[in-house]
Amino acid sequence: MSADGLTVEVSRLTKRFGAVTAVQELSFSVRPGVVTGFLGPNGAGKTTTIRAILDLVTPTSGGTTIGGRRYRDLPRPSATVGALLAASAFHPGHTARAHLRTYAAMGGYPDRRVEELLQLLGLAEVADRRTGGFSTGMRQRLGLATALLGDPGVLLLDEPGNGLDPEGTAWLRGFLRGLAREGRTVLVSSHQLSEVEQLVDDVVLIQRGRKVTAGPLAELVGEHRNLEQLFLRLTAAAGPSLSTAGEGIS
Amino acid sequence: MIRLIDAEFRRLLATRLWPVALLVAVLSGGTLVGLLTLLGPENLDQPLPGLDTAAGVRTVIGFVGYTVFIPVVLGTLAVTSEYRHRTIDTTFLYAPRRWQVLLAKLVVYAGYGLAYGLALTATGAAVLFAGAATRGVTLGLSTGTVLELFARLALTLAVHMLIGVGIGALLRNQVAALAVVFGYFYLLEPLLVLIPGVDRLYPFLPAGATAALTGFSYMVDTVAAELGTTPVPLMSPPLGGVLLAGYAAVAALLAVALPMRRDVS
Repeated sequence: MSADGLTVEVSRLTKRFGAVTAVQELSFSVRPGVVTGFLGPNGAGKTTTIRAILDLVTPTSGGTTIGGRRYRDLPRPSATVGALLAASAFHPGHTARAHLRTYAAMGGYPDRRVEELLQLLGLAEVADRRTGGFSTGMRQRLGLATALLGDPGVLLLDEPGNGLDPEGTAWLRGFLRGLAREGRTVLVSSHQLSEVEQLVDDVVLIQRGRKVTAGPLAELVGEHRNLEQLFLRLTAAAGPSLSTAGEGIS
Repeated sequence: MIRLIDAEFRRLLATRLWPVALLVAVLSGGTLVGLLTLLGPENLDQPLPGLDTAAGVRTVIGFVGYTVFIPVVLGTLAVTSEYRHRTIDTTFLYAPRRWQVLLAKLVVYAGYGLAYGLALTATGAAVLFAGAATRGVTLGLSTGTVLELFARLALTLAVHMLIGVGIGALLRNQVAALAVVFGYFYLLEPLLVLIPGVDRLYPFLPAGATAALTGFSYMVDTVAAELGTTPVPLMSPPLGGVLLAGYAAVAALLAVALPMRRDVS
């Protein structure tokens, strides 16, 4: 596989939905070759930020770039960025193979690539089953396969570990680490700090649409026992606690 | 663009909906025309002109026009099912110039609509000729005219599928789209014909244009006779066709223009 990771930049991004401010003046960058955890409680603005990077929502102010370009200005977006956004984004009546072949056609990738990915993600045996009957683990794998069709150098994954069993979580960790080792830029959002601690190299921690801290995990955790402790200390200083921050737009 | 059209074809052909829809086309065409032909329109509780009259044949074909809401519904699904199953995210990620996706859907659904229309009208025509022959009735219109009316009906059905794509792009929500389509084509439009004054609008509505295109004035004439008013004059068939094409163009324009800047969240 060839992969050119590009730096993802978020600069002073603000997004308001009516009266609700989902993201406020958020800036950070994501570098290639490592896994970056995009962390925060539910409703912190993680999904909105990822959707803004992908041009699915229009920023109220500020902006985002991938390798210096806006998503919509990328010459071949699906060959540059792969994204996993919802736990299940398939027509329930489509088989896994038909789903992938639809997007292979859309991106201009050969059907051979579909077969490769079915193998790579362990979906070959269920390729001709309709996705309506898929388990959570199978859905996540098919979502990843969809993101990887164009062999992109940048991967933006929104809560890819949600609903996975321990075996699935371990598999995902190894898989994403492998993608980063190939030089790709990998951003993984999660609200479960303890679960991603073993996966990520860099961390961007946000709460209520604002950045709490960002940097390499080892440096940030430092004398704190773990990410959770760090987060609790930083947010206690800021005021609102984890338990009240879980509401709002995710 | 070719890629997007290829993808939309694959998307459509991968579901079980399209063969079911073609079956519905064959059944609705066959059953409606079959029942009217075999029972004889003149033998109904409210007798209609017989098949041996021009009005009778036009009425039988015109009744099939009442099934236009089915292709409209199928058209809405082209867009609403993407929002419902959240595939719209992936679709717009693969094609950030969103209007191209909708244009590809319109192209594919124009073909699908034509296939639907031809399946329905070919069955209808076959059943009409066979039924008339079985009953020993000579149709009140020449074979050529009957075939032309059915061909116009096929086009009308295809155009309605495109109108559906536009409605789907406008509303995005599947349940809302279904409610609007049924509410309009089943309740509102037929009711409008019954209201004096408002009925003058009828020729300019999709149903009026459809009726003009298929030369089906029996309903408006009957309603006028019942109410003791003068029947609303339908447009000429070519004008009806132009008007219907206009509706489809507006729907297509909506479909292509609307998703441009809207947030998908």
